[in-house]
Amino acid sequence: MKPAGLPDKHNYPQDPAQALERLMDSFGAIVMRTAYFYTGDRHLAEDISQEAFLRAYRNWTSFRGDSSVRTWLTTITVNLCRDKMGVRMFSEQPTAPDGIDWGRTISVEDEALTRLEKSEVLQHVLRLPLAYQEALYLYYYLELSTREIAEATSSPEGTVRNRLHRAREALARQMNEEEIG
Amino acid sequence: MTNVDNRLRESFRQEADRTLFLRMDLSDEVKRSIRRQASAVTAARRPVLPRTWIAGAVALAAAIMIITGIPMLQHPAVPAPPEQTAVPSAPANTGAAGSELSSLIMSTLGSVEDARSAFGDGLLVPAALPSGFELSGITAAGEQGKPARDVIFTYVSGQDTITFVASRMAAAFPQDLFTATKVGGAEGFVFEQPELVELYWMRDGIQYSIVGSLSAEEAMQAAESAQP
Repeated sequence: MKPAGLPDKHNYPQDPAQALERLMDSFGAIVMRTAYFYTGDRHLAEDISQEAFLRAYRNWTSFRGDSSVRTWLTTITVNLCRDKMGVRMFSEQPTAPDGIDWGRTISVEDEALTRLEKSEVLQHVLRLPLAYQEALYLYYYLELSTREIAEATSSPEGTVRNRLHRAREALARQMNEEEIG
Repeated sequence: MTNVDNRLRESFRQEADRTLFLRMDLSDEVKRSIRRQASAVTAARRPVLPRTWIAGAVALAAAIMIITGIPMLQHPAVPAPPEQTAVPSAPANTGAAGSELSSLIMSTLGSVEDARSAFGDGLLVPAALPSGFELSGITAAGEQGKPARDVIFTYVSGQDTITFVASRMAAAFPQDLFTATKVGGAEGFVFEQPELVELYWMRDGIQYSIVGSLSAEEAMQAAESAQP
């Protein structure tokens, strides 16, 4: 397992209100970014972030600390995002390319858009079906293990591994097409 | 991870941070909103434990009545005593508390005078709050035809909120996290957190509290300014 998954709740205050402050300081950005990655909308991301931290606050005492706090909070956020966006959007639909639900529209600032168009990897990731984008984001950006992704998305770990493998292949195809083109 | 994986991860992270996630942090405004909602969750939770206890005790009392065959089920519940505590120690209170659960009425009040009429003349109301805070609403909770059990005053200054509560029920809070203090000679407990302070004290059998975006010193000043 990766270091991110090591239990570390004992390093946090027991009091939920004090813990909430630490969580917001330590993981405010990662929760907000995750919510934004799923929704593509800053306001929606803020709503989801609020709900994620409140859910963590409510459940802080009952959280046993089996995983790292970061993983636990990320899982809460991912669940909220999937609920909000509809879990089906993140289902794999490999057999009907024309019918793939490409999902959300991401609004970015002009400055970011210019950089995005010049990016080596990200622009290709964002062209993939949402199921693959999600797998790559959770694994590479959030550095969750396949087991943690399986828990966060309520999927068998084998399914996560397969999806990640296909996502990498699809990404490689995209990037090769770009180079050839 | 393989080297390819590592390179992919580095590129993904750097590019995402510079583009999609540019300035994508949890703002102070959102943090304040989370704190306010968390505070409301805490406030809403406080009466839950005693009520749960009371509901259990009522169920137990009802079971005993049925088992012993006493035909009391057709009688109305015993009236509530004027003062109720968070954890009633005498079985005589359980029936009254149970009927209270089913008949608690919330109402909005228009003025401090209305609050005094609803709660009773003994109600203390703070005269000095931190500058900028203004009364934005008063809510009362209680049984029909009886003095209000709780009166909640909400004061607002921009995004910040202070809640002042007078209640006939003792508040349930983790005293080990609080610091003992004195409010006008009465025993009080204060808990100072970043951007959120909680102060509880009891006077003449009434539980008072001030919770919100103020310092412990300001909370003490507001508490000591409370007057009939």
